[in-house]
Amino acid sequence: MVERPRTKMVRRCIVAFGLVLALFWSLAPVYWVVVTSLKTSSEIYALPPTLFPHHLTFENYRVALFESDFLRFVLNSALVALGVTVVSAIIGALAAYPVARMRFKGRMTSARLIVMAYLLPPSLLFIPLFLVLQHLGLVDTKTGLILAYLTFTVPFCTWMLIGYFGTIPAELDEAARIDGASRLQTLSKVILPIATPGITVVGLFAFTHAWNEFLYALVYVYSKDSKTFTAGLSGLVMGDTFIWGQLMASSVIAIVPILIIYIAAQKYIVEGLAAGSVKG
Amino acid sequence: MTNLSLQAVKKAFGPVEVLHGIDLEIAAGEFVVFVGPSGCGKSTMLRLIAGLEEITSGTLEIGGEIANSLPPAERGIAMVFQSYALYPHMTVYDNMAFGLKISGMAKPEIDQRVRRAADMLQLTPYLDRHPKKLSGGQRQRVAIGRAVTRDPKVFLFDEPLSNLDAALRVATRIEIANLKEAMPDATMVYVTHDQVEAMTLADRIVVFNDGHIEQVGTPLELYTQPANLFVARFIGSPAMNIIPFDVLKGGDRPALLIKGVSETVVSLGPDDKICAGGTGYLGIRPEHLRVARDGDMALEGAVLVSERLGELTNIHLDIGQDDPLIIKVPGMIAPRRGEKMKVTFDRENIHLFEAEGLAV
Repeated sequence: MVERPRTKMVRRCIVAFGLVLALFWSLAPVYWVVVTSLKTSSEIYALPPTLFPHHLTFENYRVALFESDFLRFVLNSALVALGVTVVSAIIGALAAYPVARMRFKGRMTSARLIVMAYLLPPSLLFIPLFLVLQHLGLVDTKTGLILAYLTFTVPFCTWMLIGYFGTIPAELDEAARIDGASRLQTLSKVILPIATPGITVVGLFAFTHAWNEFLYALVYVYSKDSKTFTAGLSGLVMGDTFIWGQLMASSVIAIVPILIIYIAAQKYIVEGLAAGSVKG
Repeated sequence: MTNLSLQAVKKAFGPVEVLHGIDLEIAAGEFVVFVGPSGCGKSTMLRLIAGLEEITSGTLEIGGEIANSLPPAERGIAMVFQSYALYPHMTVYDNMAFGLKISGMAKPEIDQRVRRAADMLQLTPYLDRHPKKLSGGQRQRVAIGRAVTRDPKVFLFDEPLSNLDAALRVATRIEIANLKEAMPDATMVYVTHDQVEAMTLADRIVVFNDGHIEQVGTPLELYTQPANLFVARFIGSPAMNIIPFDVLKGGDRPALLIKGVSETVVSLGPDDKICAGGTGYLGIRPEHLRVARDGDMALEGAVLVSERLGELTNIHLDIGQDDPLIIKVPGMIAPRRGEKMKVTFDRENIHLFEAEGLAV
């Protein structure tokens, strides 16, 4: 679109200002976490607070990594999150494909039920779910926690993938059927490879959700063997005492994996693999 | 050599019936083209043959065997889609080999078939490329190649040239004609709405309209002997001129009278079937009209538009009917808008239709 130079400049200024404001809004807390993790205990409580650490220290990180169970909690979180991601993606894809592609009675009803399952608030579910896990003997186990998270991630992933599969031309399925592929072969050899960006996005969602989840983690697991880092962090708040330095250092450590995953997965999210399959 | 036989084939989507009992025999090795306007059921018919849709009632036989409930892969067919439907994540080679791999064929055999098809369609230099790196014409050739490697008994084409630009369409059309030459035993069914494709490729054309067949015949049969008004209007470009008429029974011989034209246009024999109805339609192709000389029986009108196409000119003439009369004249003569013109035709070139639309 053609613009007058003056309009263009004003527009750019407004966009830049908006971006800076949004960045400040979202990054300021992160900055504060990082800076606090690098301060000594006395500096953390200093008044007025310091914007930059006067005495840079990695002591908080050393304690968090080597003198506490935090690393084990992070490992537990990773195992739970990975389990949730893999199972959600597999069940999600297997459930979404028929809803997106096949014609059968109750197709739309199943799609709606899937959304409803996703919309149920966790705060409503966590007591009945606790009873279920108790009957299954899965309280205080990572498997139990994975099962609990799946109640939320599977409906979401299925719902997202129904939409994503809908964007893939149905002629590809038909071509595969004429080529002799079964439904499962069509899904695994044709649809899933094309849907990689979609699968990546739902996988990321499932991983992030399981990684950050706090309520179920706090209620369903309590031993060191199963506890995830979110519940572990709350252990650093004892009564009215906050071990701020360690709390912040642990938080930074917990942010790093998810940050790396997001950066690595970025290209899949943006990439439109379906380009070139049909007219275009 | 595989023939196709359709007997009373119906297809309904829920309460809506889109094909109302199709009977059609397609001989082995024949190239049959389905034509018709959008929504006439021609593509649905093709999908029923492919096995992509279930037949509601009736029988489909492929090679003498009832195929109603055979899955697509077991019908010995291959299909080329309008949108190419290439697998975007696979190379050209893998696209062409996919069906063979699924069927569990040995690798050397797959390789031989893919390379032979690629050679035939000049795709060898592109075997390692992905579809998005190919032009539209190349993509459609890959789609045809994928069909060829399966060595099917029946080829199904669903408007394969519709997504190509005009020049590529001509080139790919010729390639399909060559493909048919190279595989004389293969039966081919081709769906299009493009008359030129139908006329140039087909051994026989099937004209569909509103879920039933209007006429089946060779391209020239359809052109010279349309069975009804629909086919008369559909085949030929510009379309045949259709003019309503009354039969004048007074006098010594019955005659055909066109509204607004005072003289007798055509004298009829006393036994002409058309006499009974009293009204009907006269059809005359634009190329069979010519400028009248003095003394000729003539239709007179004012020029509305002249379309100069170079080697010929289409003149639209207002003769007082709902539709203008179109005359195709050689050369680049271009009468001005509003200019009066008299045109005439020969008796042997007219087509007569009853009031219900059937050819007399």
